[in-house]
Amino acid sequence: MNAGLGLVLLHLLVALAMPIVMVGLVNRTKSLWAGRKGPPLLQSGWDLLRLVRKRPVYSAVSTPLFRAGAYVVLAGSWLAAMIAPILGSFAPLQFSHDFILFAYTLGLARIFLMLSAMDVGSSFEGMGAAREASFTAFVEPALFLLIGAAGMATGHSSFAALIGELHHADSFRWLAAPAAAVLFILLQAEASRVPVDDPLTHLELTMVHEVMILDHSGPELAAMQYAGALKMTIYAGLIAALLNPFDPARAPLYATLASLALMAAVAAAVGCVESLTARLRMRLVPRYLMLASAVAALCLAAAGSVVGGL
Amino acid sequence: MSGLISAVLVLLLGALACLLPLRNGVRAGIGIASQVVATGLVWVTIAPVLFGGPPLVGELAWAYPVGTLRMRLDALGAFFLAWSLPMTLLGSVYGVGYLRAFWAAPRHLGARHLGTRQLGTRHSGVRHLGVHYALLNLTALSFVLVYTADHALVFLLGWEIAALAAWLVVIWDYTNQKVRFAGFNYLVSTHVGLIFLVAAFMILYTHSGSWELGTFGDWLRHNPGSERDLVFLLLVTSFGLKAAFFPFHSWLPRAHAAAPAHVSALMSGVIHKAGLYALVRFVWLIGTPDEWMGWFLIAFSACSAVVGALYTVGQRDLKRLLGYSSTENVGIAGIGFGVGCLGLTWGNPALAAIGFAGGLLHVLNHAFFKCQLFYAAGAVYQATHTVNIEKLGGLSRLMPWTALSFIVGGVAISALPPLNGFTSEFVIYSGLFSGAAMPASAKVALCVAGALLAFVGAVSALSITRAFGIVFLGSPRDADVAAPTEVSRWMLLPMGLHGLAVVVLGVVPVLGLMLVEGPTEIALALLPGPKAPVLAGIGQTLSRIGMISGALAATVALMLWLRSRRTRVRARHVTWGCGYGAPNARMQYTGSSFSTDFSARFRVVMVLLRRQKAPTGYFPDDAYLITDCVDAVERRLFSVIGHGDNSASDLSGRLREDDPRFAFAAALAAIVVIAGLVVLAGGPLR
Repeated sequence: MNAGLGLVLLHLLVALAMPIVMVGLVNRTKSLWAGRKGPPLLQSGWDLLRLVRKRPVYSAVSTPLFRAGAYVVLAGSWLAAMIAPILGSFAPLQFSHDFILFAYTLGLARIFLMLSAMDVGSSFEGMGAAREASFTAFVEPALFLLIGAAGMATGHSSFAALIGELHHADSFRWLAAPAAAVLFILLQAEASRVPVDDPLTHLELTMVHEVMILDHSGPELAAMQYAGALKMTIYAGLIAALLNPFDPARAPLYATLASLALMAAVAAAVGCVESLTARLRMRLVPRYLMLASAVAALCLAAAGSVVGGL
Repeated sequence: MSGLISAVLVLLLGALACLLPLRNGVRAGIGIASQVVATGLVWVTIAPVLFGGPPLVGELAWAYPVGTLRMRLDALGAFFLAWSLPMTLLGSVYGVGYLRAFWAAPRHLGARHLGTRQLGTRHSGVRHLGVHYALLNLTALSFVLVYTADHALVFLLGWEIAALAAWLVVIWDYTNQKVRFAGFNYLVSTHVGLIFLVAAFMILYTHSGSWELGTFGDWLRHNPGSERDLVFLLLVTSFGLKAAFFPFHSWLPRAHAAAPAHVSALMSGVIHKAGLYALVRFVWLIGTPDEWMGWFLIAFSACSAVVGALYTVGQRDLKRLLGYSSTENVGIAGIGFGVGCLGLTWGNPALAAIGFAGGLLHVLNHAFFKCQLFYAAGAVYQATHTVNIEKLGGLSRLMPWTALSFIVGGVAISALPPLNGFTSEFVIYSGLFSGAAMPASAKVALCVAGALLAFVGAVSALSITRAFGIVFLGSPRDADVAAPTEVSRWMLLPMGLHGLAVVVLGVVPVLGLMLVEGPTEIALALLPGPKAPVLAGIGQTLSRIGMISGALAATVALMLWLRSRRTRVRARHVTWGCGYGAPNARMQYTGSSFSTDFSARFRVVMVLLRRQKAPTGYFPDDAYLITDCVDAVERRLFSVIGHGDNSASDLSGRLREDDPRFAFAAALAAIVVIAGLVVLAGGPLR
């Protein structure tokens, strides 16, 4: 029991702290490619603290939903982080078919993000919400197809076991690379990174996530930004759990270290992609996202044929 | 059973009393009072059956060609009756608020006169609203008949009463030609469905020699083969037309947009659930369906869910949008039933229980949130006299309760936690991703269905965001639309009760599961061998999810409370307009701009019509752009009918029908063909 509690605390700690580190790592990587020194690793933490202390300014058009939205997004992302295995085959909330709750909690967070964007009645934020909504629809099947593949390969039904135990399955060598690729595309879509979205752009017409929070300020903006970073951490954690060879129940220290190293590697990869490629044209983004679904469908077919003995 | 018969009598008496020459208010009161009594009687009768009691059987002797009329109430019928009648009652209550403006209105005044001066003027003769309430009573009565019928004729009688009553309440606003057309469209398609149903019943009657559903079941169970397959297809077509599965849905958006809001709510939420009831009933009569039937149901339903969801994205009319989402949701429930069917085929009790329980739970949940959404849409219509989302905006500040009701229903219909839509989809998903033993190819197919369901969920989140965001958030778009005020309590009460149920069933999902446990037992009884309590596992998971959802809601509330304690003074400023100094409300994102990127990728199903007049000259005065997402199926249907009509008249023009030689030759050919068919089928000629 004590070991279990320790793992839960470890999971919480990683989930709470890693978003700030992840953002720092991505920014550092980008700075290195650009030949700059870059901001301190924990800079985004200080930024969040500064925002929390500020007094917010609300749009005159906004309703109470605007304020509530930010906290639903934050709480929803936290709940998703409790279900997602990031240290290997372990999550604080673990039950059969918990991945459905994971996906739909993120969906709840997303719908409130979009609604608080629509609440201020700005054409730009409406545009961002519309893009977010349609991109999500293209990317949503990918996660379920991937989980279907993992379910075929492992025979488990909880998210932690599905992702964390996949390396015991026969078909792991076929599935590892495409599954990691699918999760990486999901990360780019959910955490609004290049090539789906560019967090650094300063033209409202080209933004997706950032344009939806244009009118947020103070603590609400901090909540939104933290939730965005948390989503990146969750997906990076999923990739880490997929590739993590250690079992956190038996070797918690090694599993955590391996997981942290893998997450840092994912952050570096995100930074590299961001430095080396430009954001896709809006018209092409759905195709890129459908690529994730297609690869996930291939994973499913591969897992099916390995299990079916073809 | 006597409780049910007295409920039928009370409803009939109430309907008759509604027609008496009284004031309209009194008539409405009589209708509602009789429905209250009937609901009470029905609840008392069905409660023991629903929670594990034996089925009730009643017989009524009738004259020769019909024979004894048997009524049989089992847990499945009890489950549907448990919520159909009270929801009809709430709809009637809502109708009081919705139609109150017409209580003193002259005859032949319809909804489009609302807010005009004509409504206030007094003519001789007052609009008779008793008919409307009598028809609502008849609708409630038809539920009792359909859900308890054990005799095919009683079933058809109830089916037909429901169809006709629904048609008549749909054309409430009969002075409007569009409304009459929508009603006619509904009437035709429901009767096309009836033809299929009667055909299936005739086949079953010729084989079983009896009109009783039980005897139908005996024949269906023991005679697999092409004739049973045909019966199954006929039944699915008929019930698909009733429940508005794709591609049989084209009547539905028209009817829902034309009817008064409470009628749309009842049709979508309650009346057309009879199609799903009948589907489940006949699948259970088959007992062990062939494997293809389960797959067919899943494919058919998944297709409905996907196409229905896609259509919701492009609609400008709020009620049409909600109508299409009915097609989507019956599809979702149908996927559950398909999974249950496969469970019956493979003799897998866990899969059968999860599939049917999930489907039935979704039917119940859909009834709750869909009625709620239609009520909210009706409130919007009542307050602003339009449901065109492009003209609306910023309603949430003026109609906070309606807005709250819409967002609660919207989050539920997008199947998001912590509301009830999530619980039923969770059960269906857990059927699709179950670890049950089955061939690998079947597993892959079910996973693909699961992925499609995920796509449907994301698309319906898109369309709800669009509908709620455009209508209720932002600022008002059109100065011509009257500044709305919150609607009357008669309308808020049903919305509130439905909303409460949506929340309670979401946070305490075990309640919903308890209601579907009885019906699921019937499915399990079809399988041989001892059964472990299969629903217990999913019940535990669901109660855990309920707790997590509750904790999530509590966390959000706590954060908001802490937040509001910290800052009391709030600074306000205009919305950031990219530095533009003179923004106005027409610059907000519109409904069609919200959906255009997405719908452009699904041109196959979503036909976007574009009419525009570009501004010309240096001082353009008149320019417009209208986009319309029309129904591809309906367009195709009408064009095929048009072609058929043309080619038939071409043919008859060329053939000179009045020539007797031709008539004789044609008749002879027909006789030869019929005789040939009879001989080939091994009929009496041999």
